[in-house]
Amino acid sequence: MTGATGPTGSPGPTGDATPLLSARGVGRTYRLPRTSPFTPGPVRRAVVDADLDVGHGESVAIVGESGSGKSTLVRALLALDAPAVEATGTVTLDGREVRAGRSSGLRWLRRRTGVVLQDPYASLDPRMRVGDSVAEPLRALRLPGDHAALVADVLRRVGLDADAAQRWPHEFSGGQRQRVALARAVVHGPDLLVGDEPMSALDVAVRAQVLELLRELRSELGLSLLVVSHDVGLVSHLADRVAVMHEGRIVEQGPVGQVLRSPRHPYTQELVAAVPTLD
Amino acid sequence: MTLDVHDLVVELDGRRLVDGLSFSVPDGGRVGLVGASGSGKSMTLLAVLGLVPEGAAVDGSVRLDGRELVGLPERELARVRGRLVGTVFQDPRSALDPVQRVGRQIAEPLRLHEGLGRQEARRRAVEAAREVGLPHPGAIVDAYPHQLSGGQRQRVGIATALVTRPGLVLADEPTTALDVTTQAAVLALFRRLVAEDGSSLLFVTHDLAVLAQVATHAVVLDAGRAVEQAPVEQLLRAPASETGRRLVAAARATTWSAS
Repeated sequence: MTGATGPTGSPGPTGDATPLLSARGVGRTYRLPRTSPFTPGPVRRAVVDADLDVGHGESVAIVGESGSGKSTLVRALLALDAPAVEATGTVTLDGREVRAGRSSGLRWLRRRTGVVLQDPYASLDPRMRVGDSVAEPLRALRLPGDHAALVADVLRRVGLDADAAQRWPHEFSGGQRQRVALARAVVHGPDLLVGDEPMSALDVAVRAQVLELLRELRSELGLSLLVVSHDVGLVSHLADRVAVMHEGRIVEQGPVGQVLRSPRHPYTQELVAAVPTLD
Repeated sequence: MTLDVHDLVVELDGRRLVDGLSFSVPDGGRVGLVGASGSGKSMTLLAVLGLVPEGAAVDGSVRLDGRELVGLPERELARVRGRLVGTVFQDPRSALDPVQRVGRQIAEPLRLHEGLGRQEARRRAVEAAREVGLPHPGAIVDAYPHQLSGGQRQRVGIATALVTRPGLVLADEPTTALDVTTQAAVLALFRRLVAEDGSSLLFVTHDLAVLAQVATHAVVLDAGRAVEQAPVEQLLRAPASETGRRLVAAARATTWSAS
């Protein structure tokens, strides 16, 4: 199963062009908590030999179930992962290598990426006005310009009123909070938006709206998208390409229609068969 | 067992969470309550169980096989809940007692309501664990909830709800917290057990694709009212209400379709 991306024979996402994000042979091994005071805890290979590309303007989803390693992989790609017993592989963004290390050395990476997490309730500081939360990346990255104007513009883009900046997170519904989180993720003009289960806490109607918003942001801002999700339905509507993870490995990847309609790997077949449909 | 809800009203802190709701689950019927979050579906389920939060006022009628439950003293309600109604909640982690062995929790309704002794209760717990497809049922009944996976915990929840062979099964988003393949297995289990026991089912969900797997009829809720009641297949094909149309459109925009 080495080089798991190879066997699918899928061509590079953008033909010959250099992908925006490129990962080769990424692996992470962690030590689990010890079960006895006399022996070290067992090790677990959370991610094994993952190859993944995200082309410029492309939308890629990593799909898998809990414990499949999908969140660990995406954190490793962004140098947001916890220290591992063993970390292998290389990750490049626009040709520049992503190296874990001090945050000052990663500012260029933070500048070019934005992240949205699963829970819109946990991702906003309840004691901060929404405008200040959204402006935080601008301050942290020490970007020049009129921050208030940038915040107002991005809030409008995600479909919130201009006065939203003066309000507090608790005044917003779950769906609105996820819009705020999206605003904060794109306020500094990143090239790549990364989402880890960005919609699983939302109910279906709100999910459809946020999905539409993601599509708009993608086309208006020329964003590339990398989304981690267990939701095959969502992925089928959001992604151009999908990588299926199972037990730490990418077992299959390719164009989303191809992978979901004619899955090759037994696990993908099982996964797709389990998805409830309206048909 | 038939469930007849008539003109149900639940008020909490001056707000009407359920607002004159009427619907029925016929004997052996499988009905889904669908709606967005805040539409009143979970509160309806709690009202049927007589488990509304402190300070909530309930009005109207909830009849189980013709017997009125609204206004019944808590002691009698508890007996109805334990013997006649089985309930599965969304989050198997919070529904289970973390410091009690799984087998005891499965058997608790039996000990409480059928007065079974410890030996016999354990035997029935093992049997129930086997029935819901838990691995090594003879051993797993001695495990604690944290030693189980999420899917296994929800199977324990289902075993606990069904162990008394209740005439009515209530379920509130029982698969929302589960992985897709686990969800499919749990839904299949649900269908099988309800069919085998001939129980009636009232299933709360916001997910129409899940609804289509378990229910034959849908009650669409909006602001605590039923705005549409129809066979599931008809709702999906030709929703008659504005809320129904929005729900179906949202579901189509986010659900996998092979065609």
